[in-house]
Amino acid sequence: MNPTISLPALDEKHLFQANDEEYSPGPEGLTAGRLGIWILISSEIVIFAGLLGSYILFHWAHPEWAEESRHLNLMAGGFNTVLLLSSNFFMMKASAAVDKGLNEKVKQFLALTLVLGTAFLAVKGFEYTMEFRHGEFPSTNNFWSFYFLLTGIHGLHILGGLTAISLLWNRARKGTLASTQGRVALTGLYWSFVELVWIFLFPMLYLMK
Amino acid sequence: MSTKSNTAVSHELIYILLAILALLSIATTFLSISPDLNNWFIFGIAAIMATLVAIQYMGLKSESLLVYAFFIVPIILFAILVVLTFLANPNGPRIF
Repeated sequence: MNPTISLPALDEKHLFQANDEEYSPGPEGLTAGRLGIWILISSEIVIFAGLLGSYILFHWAHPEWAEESRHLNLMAGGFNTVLLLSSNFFMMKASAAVDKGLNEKVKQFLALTLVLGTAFLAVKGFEYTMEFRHGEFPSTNNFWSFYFLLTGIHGLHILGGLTAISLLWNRARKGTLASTQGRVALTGLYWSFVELVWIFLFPMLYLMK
Repeated sequence: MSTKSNTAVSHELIYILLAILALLSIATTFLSISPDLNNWFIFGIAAIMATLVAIQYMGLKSESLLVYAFFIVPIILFAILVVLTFLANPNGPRIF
């Protein structure tokens, strides 16, 4: 006869209504969710630092890369910087609105974050299209390999962030954000990191001589 | 004035500062200065922008010591990488 282990019953309410407040905060009010996002960010730093360090090393070894970077659309890159700065600003406003319990404002700010983040991807898509038309592909040379790799990985991070923000916006729209409102601040933390990466990517790719 | 409204004001101020620094960074490329000076300038601005985002938006200044502890390993790795990058610079000292 197989031994059986009896587990405490978990109903659907407890499974799906977990939020940050249900976990005991750690030292200095650090929640499990916030610590988790910081661990994720620290692992992301290793990935991006490796890529950015390699790019700088190659740039030094190949001064002709400065000429290659002149083929990039500086106007589009600069516009994208403003878009991402604005998107993160509205994410911070949404996070502050959650603290004040202003659900309508949260919904509006999350929508603006989404629109500006999506516009960033659209502009990047436009840039890729123009580069492909000019015959610049990841296989063209090492500069373009780095360019497509770095901006591609960053773009995927943007896409992941937009997915999370759209889920939060959907909850805010339905008025069911209250049980998971701590996630707005956590997503804001991730979104700020994505902005921080772009703050280094933009001068490296578009402005470095 | 409450702490929350102070935070809201600082978000706007930080946003304006970031936008000005981004424009300054772009404007630098149109100046006729040496490539080295240009690169130092744009990375200096990027470092200031990153610090503003990390401290103000990500709330690193008020974060638990445990979070800083988790950053020790990647920061050490990053520092090693930067040192190796400088040493491997073809125009600088060679290690291999």
